[in-house]
Amino acid sequence: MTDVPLPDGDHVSRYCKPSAVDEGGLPLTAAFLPKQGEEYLSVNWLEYFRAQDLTAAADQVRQVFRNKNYRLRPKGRFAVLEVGVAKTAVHEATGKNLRVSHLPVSDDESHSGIIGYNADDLAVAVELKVLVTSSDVHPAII
Amino acid sequence: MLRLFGLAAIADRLNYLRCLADDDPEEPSIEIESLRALACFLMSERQLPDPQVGVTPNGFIQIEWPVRSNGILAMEFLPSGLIRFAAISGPARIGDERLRVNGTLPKDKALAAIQLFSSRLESR
Repeated sequence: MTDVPLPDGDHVSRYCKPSAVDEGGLPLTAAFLPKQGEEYLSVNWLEYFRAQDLTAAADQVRQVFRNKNYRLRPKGRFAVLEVGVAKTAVHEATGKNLRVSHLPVSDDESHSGIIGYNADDLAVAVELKVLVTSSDVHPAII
Repeated sequence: MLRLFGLAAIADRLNYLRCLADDDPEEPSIEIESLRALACFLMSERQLPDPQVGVTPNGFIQIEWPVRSNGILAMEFLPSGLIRFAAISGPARIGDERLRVNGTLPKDKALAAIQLFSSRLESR
């Protein structure tokens, strides 16, 4: 698997399961915690799709999930983060140096990861969560 | 039990989260000890407003409240009985340092740390 850092100005989306989405439709901190034992938080690189804007790129991500038979849920959400902003916020808050890298897999060429923290790092997840406003959130199903 | 303590909205939310896990294999199953710890916490801290409630990928209950100026206080209830917590304040004015606190502690010590954070925030 290649590990190519994404440009700071680019964006990634995180699929937030309904169990990590609040009653107002915004992601909870839990959405930004990796699973125990996982080495990174799975995300999708939006500029990979060369879409006209982030909304159109999010639609491409929906299609990727459908193609790999991942069942998106009506109350799921995609949360968009800007790579450089996320790295800077986490470094300033925790001293951790996150990497955001392109980690393509056979059924998901845009697959990427936020690397450098783990399931115990609630403080990192909080920093990522506060970066996400309602304008950064896209429904999983439209 | 939560309903007896006036926590019907939380009980409803937990029931919803449990149903999600029952219906969707992609959703994490809730760890019973984490659920128990949350219930004990909320029943003993009735002065707190109802938090938003979710589940981490490991099945631990995670709650959070907004903190002034786009900040947040999050707690995760570990099966060991410890509470993992992290809070960040938003900047009250441009250039203000953002206040932060985090740790993994027993309930009383976690609340003491958060109280200190809140006091610093209110004194600004």
